[in-house]
Amino acid sequence: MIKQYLKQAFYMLKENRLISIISIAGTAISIAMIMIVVLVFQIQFANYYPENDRDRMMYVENGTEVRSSDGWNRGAMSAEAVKECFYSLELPEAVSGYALSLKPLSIPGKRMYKGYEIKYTDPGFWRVFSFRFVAGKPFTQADFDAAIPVAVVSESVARKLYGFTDVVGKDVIIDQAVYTICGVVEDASRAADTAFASVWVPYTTDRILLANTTKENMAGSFSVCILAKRKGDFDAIRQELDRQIERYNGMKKDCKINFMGNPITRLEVAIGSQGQVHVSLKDYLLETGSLLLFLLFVPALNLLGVTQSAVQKRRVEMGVRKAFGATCGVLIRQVLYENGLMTLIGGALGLILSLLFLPVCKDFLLKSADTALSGDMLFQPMAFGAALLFCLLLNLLSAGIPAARIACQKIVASLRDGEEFL
Amino acid sequence: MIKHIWTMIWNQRSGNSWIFLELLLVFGVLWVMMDSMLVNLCTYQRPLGFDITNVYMVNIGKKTEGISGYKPDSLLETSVGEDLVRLTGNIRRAPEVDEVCIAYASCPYTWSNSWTTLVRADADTSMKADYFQCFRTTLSYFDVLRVKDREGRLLRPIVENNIGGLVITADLEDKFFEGKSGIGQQVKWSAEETESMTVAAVTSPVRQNEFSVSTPCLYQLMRTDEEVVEMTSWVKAENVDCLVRMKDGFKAEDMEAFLDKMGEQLEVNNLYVSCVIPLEEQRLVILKGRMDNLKRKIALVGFMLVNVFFGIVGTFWLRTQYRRGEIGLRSALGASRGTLKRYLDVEGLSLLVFTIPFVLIFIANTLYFDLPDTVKMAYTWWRFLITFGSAFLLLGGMIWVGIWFPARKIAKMDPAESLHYE
Repeated sequence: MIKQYLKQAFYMLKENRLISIISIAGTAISIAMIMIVVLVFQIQFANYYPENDRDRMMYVENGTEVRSSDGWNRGAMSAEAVKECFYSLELPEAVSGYALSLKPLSIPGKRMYKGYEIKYTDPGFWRVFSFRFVAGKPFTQADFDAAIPVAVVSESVARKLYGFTDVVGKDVIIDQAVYTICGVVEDASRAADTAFASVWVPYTTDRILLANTTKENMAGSFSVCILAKRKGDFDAIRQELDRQIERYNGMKKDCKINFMGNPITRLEVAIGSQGQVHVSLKDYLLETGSLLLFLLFVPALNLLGVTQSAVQKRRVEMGVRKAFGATCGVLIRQVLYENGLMTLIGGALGLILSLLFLPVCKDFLLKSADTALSGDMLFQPMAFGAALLFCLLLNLLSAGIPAARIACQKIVASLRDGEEFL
Repeated sequence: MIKHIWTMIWNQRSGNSWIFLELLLVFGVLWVMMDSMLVNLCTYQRPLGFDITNVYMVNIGKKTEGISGYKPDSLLETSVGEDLVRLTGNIRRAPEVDEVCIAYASCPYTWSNSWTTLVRADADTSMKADYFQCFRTTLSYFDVLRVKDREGRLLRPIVENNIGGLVITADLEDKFFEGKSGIGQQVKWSAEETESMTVAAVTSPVRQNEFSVSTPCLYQLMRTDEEVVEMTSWVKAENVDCLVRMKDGFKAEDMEAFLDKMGEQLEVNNLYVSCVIPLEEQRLVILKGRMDNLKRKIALVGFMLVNVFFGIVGTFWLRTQYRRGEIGLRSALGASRGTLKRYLDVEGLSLLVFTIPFVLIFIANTLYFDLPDTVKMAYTWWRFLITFGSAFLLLGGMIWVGIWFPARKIAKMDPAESLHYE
């Protein structure tokens, strides 16, 4: 039966080319716009290299508040706060504190002034993120404890500095400090913003960074990410953290630290929460939902007109089928199936269009203009599922009303006048 | 003719309702977009109050133990502040450099800012002091950023000729002295303060970036090197803003070569030039969010217009098919092809005209609830006319183009054949 419907739909597509092209193009553009919204969210949310376990991660990024009797300081925490509140946690699989700064990189004998992102971090970082090493290995706990100046560099930075990637054992000068390269990793995309950097070094090697603290050594330059053992551990980790905060505050005279509702999960980060700004899921759904609905409704109204005319053209046929015993449901299904073929063609085109548009428009869709896009960010089951879902929605919106109207008309009315189209 | 067409539209109301709804929805949303884009465009075009072309931000670094060339404090004869003054002096002497300044929390297009209370000297303690953004700068700051007064004269000579430790912006002058000149007037930090300061000059209105409006601000002047040294005793040298204006004609790509040539002169004891960032580049980073928003709006406007085009082509194409008989009759009775096309045009545009009352009700409601941005731009008749008119013309244009396709089909029709359908 479905085969019969599809055949019929296919002939109808061929019969009125211009209308078919317009309907398919309208669907394609609508699905493309919707898919771009979905893909941008997916890039924020999905697991991919090197943030392969985002669904188990929690973040405290610039969400620290230290209050004292003479005011407060909001921003990041000190290395001491990282150690006292987070390294002491027992529930998480791994914890990492990090600070980012922009500094020039040089090689011995050649001073350069272009700034690169340097991440000052700890050995936990390499357990939270799954970097692939091209050469060498990450710095160790012993390197970190003894403040040995070793650095992990990205493949592209290694090429820029030395022209090749086998640079383990060579020196890199960060600002004016000499570090020995201990590992080279595959480049991370800027979309993986917590893991991204050009160079990663133990934070114990930078005295200025460690000394850059205020409020009884509680506020500083560090953020933290946590990798939970299981997704279900989030609440337990929050409770454990509360106990650590209480203990840490007990050590201070006047200042009290709190993390302003952090740590937050990846979903919260993806909907726009960050450190001191919390976006509720309801607000996000309301905003994005209304955009998606708008992107669906405008083309649906277009297609409604067209489908209605097309269906009404076949009133007689419907009447005859009804007279021979077809039920309302069967007829509605037929119209939806036929229209579904068009929507699916449009949807597939739209999905392809969105994948073509995204790289072109990424400079104003994503947070950083030079974000590298990769297959594992885009080709996720979520994207295909969403595309199919929105196609079905569009199909229901654009064909449901005319189908129901025509199918539930009295047989006599349908049979009466095949010429009265409008 | 118009009355006749309107009767026809009314009789075909079931077929017209979908395209009418679409036009209504798109008209409303298009007006919202046009209004926000007009406000942004007008705000963007207004003067900023400073000029950053050819200005560079110089990041200062400080050597710590373990870095080659580090001198322990015990061996140093000069303070960090004196070193900073010497370092900027070295840069100023280079023939490529126009002017250098030292400032704190004053660099445009950065997140760092500082605020202070300020009141008129005659204010009593019952008055609540407002907070204003405060820039702490050397006099050369006004040359580096080419700050001018209300009449467009360069500010630095005026500041040098007058006494006083403060410069205020035009907005602050209006707020404090209501139409009187602020130069020479007395102000103080708070009502409780006994010591007052003199205003040396008044700048033109100053905005923080292209998308914000000007706010009252003040400049706390550092007239002598001693004052710079005093500031660096409580602000770390690494956190000081150092801005350089290069001579006209200097290109950003020559910066690396220039710094290379300067060599040793970029180091004074433990202080050194770490990296140099063009403010133009920094500006793009700060404005990215707003720019992206604008581009997304433009993409959405494009989407809506394409949909209106498709909707009109689809609806009218099918309509001309059904009405072949009527059209044939009309042409047989002497209607020219031009007349027939005009019929379609008027029909399409009438649909748009019918949406106007509803859109006006929508606009009146948004104005009643004060939803359009009236802070950056007052809501005037011309603002309404431009946004409403441009939305109407864009949609009208799209309808006209959309009707061109079916109209061409009519033109090709042979009256005799058309009559055949009657």
